Amino acid sequence: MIAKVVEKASSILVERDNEIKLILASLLARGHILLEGVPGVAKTYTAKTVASLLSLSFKRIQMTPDLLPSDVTGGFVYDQKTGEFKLRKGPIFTNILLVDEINRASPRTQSALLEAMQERQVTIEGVTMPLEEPFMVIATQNPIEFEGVFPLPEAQLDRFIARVPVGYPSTKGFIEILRRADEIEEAIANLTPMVSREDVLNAIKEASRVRVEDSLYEYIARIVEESRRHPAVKLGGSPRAGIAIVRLAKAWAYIEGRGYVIPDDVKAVAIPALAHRIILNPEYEVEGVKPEAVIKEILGRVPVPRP
Amino acid sequence: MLRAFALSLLLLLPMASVPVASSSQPNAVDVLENRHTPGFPGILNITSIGDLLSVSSPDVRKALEKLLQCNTLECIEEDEFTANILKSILHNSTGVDITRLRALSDSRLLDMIDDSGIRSLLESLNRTGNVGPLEVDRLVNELESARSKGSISPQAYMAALELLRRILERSGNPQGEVIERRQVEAIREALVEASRRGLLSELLERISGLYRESQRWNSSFNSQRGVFAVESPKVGFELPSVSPSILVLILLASLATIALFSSQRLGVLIAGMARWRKGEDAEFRDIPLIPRLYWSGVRLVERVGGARMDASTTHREFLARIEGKVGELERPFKGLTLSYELYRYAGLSGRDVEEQALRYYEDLEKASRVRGS
Repeated sequence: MIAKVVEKASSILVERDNEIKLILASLLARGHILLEGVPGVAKTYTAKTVASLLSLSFKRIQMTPDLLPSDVTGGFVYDQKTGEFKLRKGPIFTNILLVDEINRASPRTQSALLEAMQERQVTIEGVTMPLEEPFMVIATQNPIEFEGVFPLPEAQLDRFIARVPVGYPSTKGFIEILRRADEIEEAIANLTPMVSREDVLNAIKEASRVRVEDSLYEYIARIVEESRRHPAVKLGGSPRAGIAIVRLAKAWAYIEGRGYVIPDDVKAVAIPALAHRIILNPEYEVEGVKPEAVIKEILGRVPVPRP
Repeated sequence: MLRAFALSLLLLLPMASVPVASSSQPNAVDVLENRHTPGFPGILNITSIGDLLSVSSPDVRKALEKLLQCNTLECIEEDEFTANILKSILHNSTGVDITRLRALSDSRLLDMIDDSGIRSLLESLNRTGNVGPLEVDRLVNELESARSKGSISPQAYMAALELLRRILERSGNPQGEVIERRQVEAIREALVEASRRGLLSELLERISGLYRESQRWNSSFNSQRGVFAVESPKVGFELPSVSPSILVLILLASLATIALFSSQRLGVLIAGMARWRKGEDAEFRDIPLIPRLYWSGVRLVERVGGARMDASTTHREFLARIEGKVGELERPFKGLTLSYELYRYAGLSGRDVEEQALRYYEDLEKASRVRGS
């Protein structure tokens, strides 16, 4: 079922297969995803397309510096007719929340959102309300802008199970986008859900039951540990990073139609799951070394389970 | 099989005879180095233990494996490329040119035999055509005895075997096949012997004091030595008969080797050797059938496809890497990879899975044989 969603979304969006799969894998792993890229590379379109194919409630918030936490979570408002305070739920009460340009929101609003992401519940005026499952935040951010933005601190980035850099398409893909731009827009607008909420919940359950052979845990642990030992790295992956890799790898295997994880799944998700949790030493950062390159180098060195 | 071959070299090492340079070739190590054939980084380059461990040229490995599998010269010559490599190795390491021997006339072969007794026996057999089992046994015994005493050169020995094979073949004697097998055995032994000498030279060079000592002692052995005259290239190897002095030398060499154990370079070499032995031997031993079949399959495909599966490569990455490069081997290897994946990561086991993997492996071997021939 989920594979069909991938197929359909990939047929609409050009060269976004990996991003689509990672969004769905994050959903199945009960995580949140951060899409990072310059403006105009279809970050929002990708998120919208996936969300539209799932029969889940979907809301979108455009972050701005003046947005308040209550604009995200909601709050109690006075009802003149009844003379009571009534809860007006914010956009966070949804299954899939698209948070556009998350780094434009003030730190206060960001932390309110990120707390809800972690706890999967919202507390308003002392009243705690759980968020309906499944719950996933798809956030986007532009890494280039520095004016009027509040970059997410590392501790908050850690709340995202994966960060996916969304790059420019290839020339061939670009030409296809130019040719099909109107058609793509129309197709996204007319999308109908393919998978029900129950199906998604079942898929989440099944993905959590995907088999992970013991040696693969060791393999993942070694990758994360190597990220801490790497000379270019100031702060490496935490145990949470390892857990994220395991969960994403299981979901990735499930999307691929397998009931078991293989080392290739680990490799496929290691960069999105680890790169945003790593802080490089300034001297390497200045030289233009990217965390993705460091993880890639580690993956090319850590032995896969044998025999 | 190659492993067994290489291991036998290592095991033979302590028992190896000491090479002594002839008066015309004072430095045996230089001579050995000059015998290397550029472009063949295999057995000819084995002058150190480290080199022995790095016989990694797929072509040379393939050629050596072919040699170990074959019982007839035709089998060796089946694959022209393999045969050429083998011929070159053999020619450069022992001076024996098997192709030339096969092409020579009977009389030329007789001329090459430097042992008069054996020559006359062969002449008599060739003339009369009387080749009963007793005559053949007698000749073979004479030949082996001369060889063990060193009174016959490798070329002469091979020439005698070739002539005997022809005589037996002409008379329809089935012992011809046995002689041919003996020829192949002799080729193997010649290669082993050549490599063994190279290794010992290396060790002796390291124990330089002892090596110089051995050169000094050389003169005293000249009177009792057996000479292996090699035609091309002109290399003289002299194998002294075993004497107490030799035993003392070997003992001293062994002691010095142990002393050098702590030196970094030799330590690294020996550690490498241990790793190799452990790795190569233990690689397929004590592991369940399906992984064993898979890893054997990987080695096979590596040889054919030229791609290496390094430690960080996954089974699927390796499969993708060899795609379109190994021809008929691809399909069974794909099946074998899937069997391995299901066994290793999906936890599938049982007779059916094993039988399936075995079938894939057999198909893979068949395909590799077809490709090899």
